[in-house]
Amino acid sequence: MLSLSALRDGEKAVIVSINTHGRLKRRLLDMGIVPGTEVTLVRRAPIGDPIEFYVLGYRLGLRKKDAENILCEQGSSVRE
Amino acid sequence: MYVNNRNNEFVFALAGNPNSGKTTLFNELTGSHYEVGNWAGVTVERREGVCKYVYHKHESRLDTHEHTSVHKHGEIHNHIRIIDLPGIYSLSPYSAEEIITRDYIMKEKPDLILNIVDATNLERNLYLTTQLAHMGIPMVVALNMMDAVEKSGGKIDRDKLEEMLGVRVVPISAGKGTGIQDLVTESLEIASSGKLCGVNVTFPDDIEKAVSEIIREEKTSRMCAVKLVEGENWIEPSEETKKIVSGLRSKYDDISTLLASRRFLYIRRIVKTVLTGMDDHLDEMTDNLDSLAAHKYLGIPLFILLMFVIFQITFGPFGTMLSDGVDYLINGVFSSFVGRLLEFFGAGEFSRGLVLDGIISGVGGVVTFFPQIMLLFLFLSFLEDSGYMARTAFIMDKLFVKIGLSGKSFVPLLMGFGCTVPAAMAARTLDSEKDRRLTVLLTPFMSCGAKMPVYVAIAGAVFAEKAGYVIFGLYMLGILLAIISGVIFSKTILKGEAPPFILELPQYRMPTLKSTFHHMWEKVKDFLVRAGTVLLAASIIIYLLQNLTFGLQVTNDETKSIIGVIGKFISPVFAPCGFGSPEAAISLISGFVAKEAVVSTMSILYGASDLSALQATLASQLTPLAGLSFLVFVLLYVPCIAAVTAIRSELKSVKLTVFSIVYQVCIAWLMSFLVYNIGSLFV
Ligand SMILES: Nc1nc2c(ncn2[C@@H]2O[C@H](COP(=O)(O)OP(=O)(O)OP(=O)(O)O)[C@@H](O)[C@H]2O)c(=O)[nH]1
Ligand SMILES: [Mg+2]
Repeated sequence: MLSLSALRDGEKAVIVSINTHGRLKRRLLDMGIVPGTEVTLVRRAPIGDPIEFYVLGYRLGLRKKDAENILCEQGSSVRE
Repeated sequence: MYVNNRNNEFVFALAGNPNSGKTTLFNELTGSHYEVGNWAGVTVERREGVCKYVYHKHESRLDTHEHTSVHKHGEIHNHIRIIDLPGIYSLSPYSAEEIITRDYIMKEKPDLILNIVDATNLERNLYLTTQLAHMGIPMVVALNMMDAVEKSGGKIDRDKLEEMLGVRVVPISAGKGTGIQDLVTESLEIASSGKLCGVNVTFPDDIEKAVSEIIREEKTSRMCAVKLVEGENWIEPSEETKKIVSGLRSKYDDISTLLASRRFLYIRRIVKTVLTGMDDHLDEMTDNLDSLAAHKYLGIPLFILLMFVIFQITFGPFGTMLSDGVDYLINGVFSSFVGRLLEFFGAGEFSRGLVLDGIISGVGGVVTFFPQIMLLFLFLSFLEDSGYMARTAFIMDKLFVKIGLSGKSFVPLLMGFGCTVPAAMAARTLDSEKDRRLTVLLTPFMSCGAKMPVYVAIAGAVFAEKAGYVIFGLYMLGILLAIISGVIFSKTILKGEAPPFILELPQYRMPTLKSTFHHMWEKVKDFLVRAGTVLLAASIIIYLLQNLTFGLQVTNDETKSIIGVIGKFISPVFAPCGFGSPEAAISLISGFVAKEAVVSTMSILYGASDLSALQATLASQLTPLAGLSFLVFVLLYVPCIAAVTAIRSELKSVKLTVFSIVYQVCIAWLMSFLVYNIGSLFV
């Protein structure tokens, strides 16, 4: 397991857990960052932060420090 | 079946994800022209309109038709009221404008929720659908952007989707205007039957049981009960409910994650069944453009280059040439025509003066800059419609965090180059109160479009062909002082953590020429309306005050006129900054009404018949250094009254608003003072 921010550009992963709390967590869940969702790291902004992800068919920008708290498993999911 | 609504009028509320096309549909339904743009968070307030389709009872059916078409005789038609709301991702609001939407749906209970779903992004959009469906309000899903789905070869099985969701689904394309009447007809049918949506997502048995108990206990909607289980109290829970909830919470350690996962799992299953032909791939055009626009090294330089090009076209030879053309038309052709007309009808000297030297010279002095303002707004509209705005927020975030802001603040601040009023309102989309207030406090530093005429007129007069550089420098000075002020504010009066940054980056869309022009026109219209109202009134008042004494006698001696006396009284304040003339002082005061009024007031006070006459006078009155100092003051001092009102309502604090005004005046005076006095050492 590794954090979302540790993915390489273009790498795919499946979310395992979201280790944040409160409002931020609520928001992430509501935007589709839930266990089992497939995520691709698309690119990093200047100076490496924030990071653009491709998730559920749209692009989402997250700060490195928030992405660090989301754990994932490399590879694509067996989407049932 | 028939209507059980209030006064035979239906209320439909548009709800959906940000950027899904709600306002586009609203404009289509009501014939309005509200702002549409390709980024999340364009609409930040609730708007109402009357649907252009009316309906009447026809035997057992409700018939809809356009209001303008011929009525069958004797039939009374009924109206539908449409409510446009800010976009939301879920019913747990995150920023200020999202609260407006949640509260409206929860408290005002429309007759129907029109859930706009972006069909190119079903997985995320349907999440909100599963929530809205259980608010206890009839609902119809408008499957929008079907044109884009078809273009990329996708197909959506509407019947299957309807069946699986338990909600009526109508495919439309708000942008193209297709499927709209069907949508209204079907919505009316659902609204008048009052039929609620079926249960869609189901949760584990014990949670379901708790939810049912809470619904019974609180007599509330399923959604509200689910939220109570999650610990989000939309209503004050009873003791019984609290017991049920805490019983459940001891069994599960993270109910919210569980429920959200369930919803997305359910949606994934639906999307897999109903959607065919669209592969789950990044849109290529967006990817190619982003590899430049959001590039690690090139992103920021490209943005600066883009701004520079926009600036060059607007203020460079091209823009100037256009303005000179308008100047010739108004102050040359039109003015002399009106002059001859007035003479022909034998108008007296005073009324001729009022029209020619007051109104035409004042209003015309500003309308001259119309082409340049149009160019500026054309570029801003293009940026907003293309999808680039969200990218600027993305690439600037790291830098903005350093000055105590979030990258999201960049969008409102960019809008500030157009007008401070929408800019201050756009700050609602920011994620924390501290960020919002900080951004609102900084918007006046972004030089608004109405200040442009002042820059061009005065810089052109005292710096001639170097005017372009001076104006560019002014914009930069505004940005620089915004940065410094941002750092100071975030370390003193507005302390706090930078909130998290969660931003959707929409797909790029090539804006059509028509829509961009339309968008620009909506913005420019404000400027024209202001010229015809506020500026007109200000010009008349200034002319009268210039030609009347306190005893209301007509005078030609300016020192005795009301304005002369007031101007002489105030002007010493500005003397240390190098522009101690009464004319300068009066112009600055009228600039509080509208920034363009600075130019119109000067035109009147100096009796200038056109732009070149005004510039000749200014050149003789102001040294280049004094001119620069004056421009710095105009750049920085209090924004116009409309902007101050907007700032006050967004800050929600009189104290902070007063602070903002005092701060702007002080910094304006101080900077002009420094420019003039330090500059004097060198010149
Ligand atoms: N291709 C296509 N584009 C559309 C359609 N409807 C809207 N758009 C575009 O989608 C973007 C968003 O439209 P808006 O109407 O501003 O969306 P909104 O839902 O009001 O957005 P917020 O106010 O930010 O919540 C704009 O760029 C529109 O031009 C459509 O039917 N087809
Ligand atoms: Mg909108």
